[in-house]
Amino acid sequence: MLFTSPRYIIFLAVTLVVLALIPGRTPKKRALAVASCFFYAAWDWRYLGLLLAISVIDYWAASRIAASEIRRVKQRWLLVSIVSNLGILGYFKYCNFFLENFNVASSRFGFSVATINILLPAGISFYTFKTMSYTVDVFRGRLQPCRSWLDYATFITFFPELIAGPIVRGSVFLPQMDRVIGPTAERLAAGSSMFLQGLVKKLFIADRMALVSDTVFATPGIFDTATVWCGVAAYTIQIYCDFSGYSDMAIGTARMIGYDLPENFKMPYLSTNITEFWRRWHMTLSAWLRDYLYIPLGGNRHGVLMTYRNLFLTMLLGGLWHGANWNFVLWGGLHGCALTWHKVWVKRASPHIALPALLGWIFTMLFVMVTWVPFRAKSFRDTMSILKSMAGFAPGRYNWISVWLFYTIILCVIAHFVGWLIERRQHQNTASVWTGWLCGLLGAGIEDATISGPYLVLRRVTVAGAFVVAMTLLMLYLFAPLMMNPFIYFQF
Amino acid sequence: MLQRILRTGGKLLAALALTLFVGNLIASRTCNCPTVFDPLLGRVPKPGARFYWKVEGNGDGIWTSNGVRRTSLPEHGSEGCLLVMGDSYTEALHVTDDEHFAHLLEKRLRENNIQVPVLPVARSGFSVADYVSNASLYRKLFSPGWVIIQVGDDDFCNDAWTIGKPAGYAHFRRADDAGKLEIVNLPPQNTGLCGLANDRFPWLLPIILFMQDRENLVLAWVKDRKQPWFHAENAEESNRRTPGIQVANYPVDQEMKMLAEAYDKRVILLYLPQFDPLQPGRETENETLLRKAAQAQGIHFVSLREKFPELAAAGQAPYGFVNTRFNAGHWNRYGHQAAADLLFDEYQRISHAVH
Repeated sequence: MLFTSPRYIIFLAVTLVVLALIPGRTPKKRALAVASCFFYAAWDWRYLGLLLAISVIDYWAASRIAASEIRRVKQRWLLVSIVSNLGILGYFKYCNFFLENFNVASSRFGFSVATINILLPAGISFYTFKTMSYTVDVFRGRLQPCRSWLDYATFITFFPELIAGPIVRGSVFLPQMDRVIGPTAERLAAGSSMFLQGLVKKLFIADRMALVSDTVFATPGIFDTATVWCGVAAYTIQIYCDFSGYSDMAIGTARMIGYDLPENFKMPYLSTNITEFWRRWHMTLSAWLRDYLYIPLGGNRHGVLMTYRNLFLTMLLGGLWHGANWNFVLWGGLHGCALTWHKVWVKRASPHIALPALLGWIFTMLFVMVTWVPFRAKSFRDTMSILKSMAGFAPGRYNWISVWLFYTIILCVIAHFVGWLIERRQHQNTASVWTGWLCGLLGAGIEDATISGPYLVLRRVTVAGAFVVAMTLLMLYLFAPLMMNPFIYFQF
Repeated sequence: MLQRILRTGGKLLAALALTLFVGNLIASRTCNCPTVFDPLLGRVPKPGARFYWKVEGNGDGIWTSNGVRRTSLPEHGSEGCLLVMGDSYTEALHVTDDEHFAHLLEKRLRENNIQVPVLPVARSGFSVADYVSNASLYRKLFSPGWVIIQVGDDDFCNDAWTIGKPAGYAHFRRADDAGKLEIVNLPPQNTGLCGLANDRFPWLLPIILFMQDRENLVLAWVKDRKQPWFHAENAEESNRRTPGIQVANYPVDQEMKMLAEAYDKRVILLYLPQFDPLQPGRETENETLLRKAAQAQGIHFVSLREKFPELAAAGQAPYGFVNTRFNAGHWNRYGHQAAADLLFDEYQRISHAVH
């Protein structure tokens, strides 16, 4: 049930109607949990049991941690939680990866192990991280354990962010459980505005760019340098609009129901250095890796070299989290190197050399684009083939530069300008003339009071606002590829 | 309260009207091909009206009467002309008039002092059954010297055998147990959304036609199905309609015989094969079969594949556009140019042989 499919729209509408009709806070939450289970079962009902089993283990472990005063007992229960989560993740996601690599290494000695036919459960990387953060937070004393398993199950199975994030921590979500959920006029207006923004990003931009990038990455050896660069640029736009579009839709859906999900993207392609990029890209994963991996590894507490090592290891494992593939390890490793290099630069060079922001932006974008190549390519061989073509070595003959790429870049520049205005307003805490004019014309307001980040949401009916919505829907009907492309992050 | 509802409703109506107006304006320049109903030919492009087609390719152009794609009919009549028939590939909304292979062929002939008009009368959805079925009508209307028919694998196979085709189209069926073929012709009727839109809502025509063009895609999306194969955006492996089609499973010899008889063997088949960027010169089994069947009936067979190595060397694919996929969907100006060159050579060969 893709967020962009009519089935999901029907499912969401039915869920909202049920939530509106059922009286009482607790029955609403139970209905939401049932709807979430139905949503997950629609992907693959066989793994619903696994999801519920994880929630039982972590709920139990967290309550034992909270109940005990003895640190060793607490540690033992934390270990139970971590081992079961990582064990499940390792088995389903990495088992074959390790077996295949073991076979490669052992082939010279003449023996091999058969790989296992495993179907990756949808969203496993996201919900295991979510549940682990819960037990760790309870262990650290930062979060009170959930009093009811049903509440906890509602949190774990919450369908808008179940499959591909944002990675919501218990400390963010569980305090919201006291709310009376269900649609209200205000929630529907705000949530549907957010959802529509995500829908445009996914259907209109990401899927259109997929036509370009899929072609180039499918047969990288046949295209010339300019075409390959365009394919990589298209993927750079596609992955951002695909994933941030999904996040917008998840945040919008949650908002319609009555919950706030944390911001996941903050215009990362405006970053002027790689550290800033990771503060703006997949923010919930970056924060998770920082709090539950980088800091436990020692963070920056044990000297410069150890800081660099920790940073590199965090990014390497972050790369591996994306998928059991050496290409992801390479991608993570490259970003780890870049983050380390930036830290060195800030410490040693930046007091003496002032790098213009534009130059910083160009370097960052080039690095991000180049590193998307191993992320997207099917194999290491394809990665090298594309990188060679980009560098002008051994390029193919065919030239095919999609005109949609240029339209999309123009659209992205306009959207980023509006986003920049909103961000500027948020930072300076003053209403600029531009944003005031835009909001007045559209009958919109800027939603920045919640953790979801600033969103332009429709608040009242104006001709211009209704025209923008109607025109957007018409343009989606006329120009969206409607390819039923799954979201890129569903594979993780 | 009532006043508030009325005010909100008024605003929504105004927004809707504005959306339709702007949408119509966009559609009129991106997907606009007005048609008229002709009792003999069915729905044909409106004579003299310029069409715009920017959703796949970047085409625009003008039709004259009887569905001929050129600004005016030849001054000295069409007798002895080269009549070009085909489906959407030859209708070629995706390229401009100047890029169409019929125009390029006529220009090349003229440059070589051969004054033969080339009249493209293609119609989207036509197959071999339609070319046979309409032979007498087209011969009567245009008295062609030679007929060029653009075909692909499916024009002899599923396209020519589909029973549920709309009015104005024909299909083959077996007349008896011995396997003799006959044509089922469904006379043209002025029905359907297209006719209604053309006749009743001409002021809203572009947006209606654009929405109709998207209908299959949107219906597939609503039903969570894979997109229709004929849509350029969905053409993944095959640029030529139904992938994996087996010509050997159809009575191609009989179809070819009917085609030859319908036009007194004065037929040049222009075959459009798939383009494989890695092996551009490789001939497929289907192509070999069709070539042999055509030659057995005295039909001239020209395959666009002959130009593929040349196109590949220049880094050009004959199919696909900068606003769709690489090497997918209909053919582009490189394909049209290659076809014009091939047909010119073939016509010269035929002329020399006759003289």
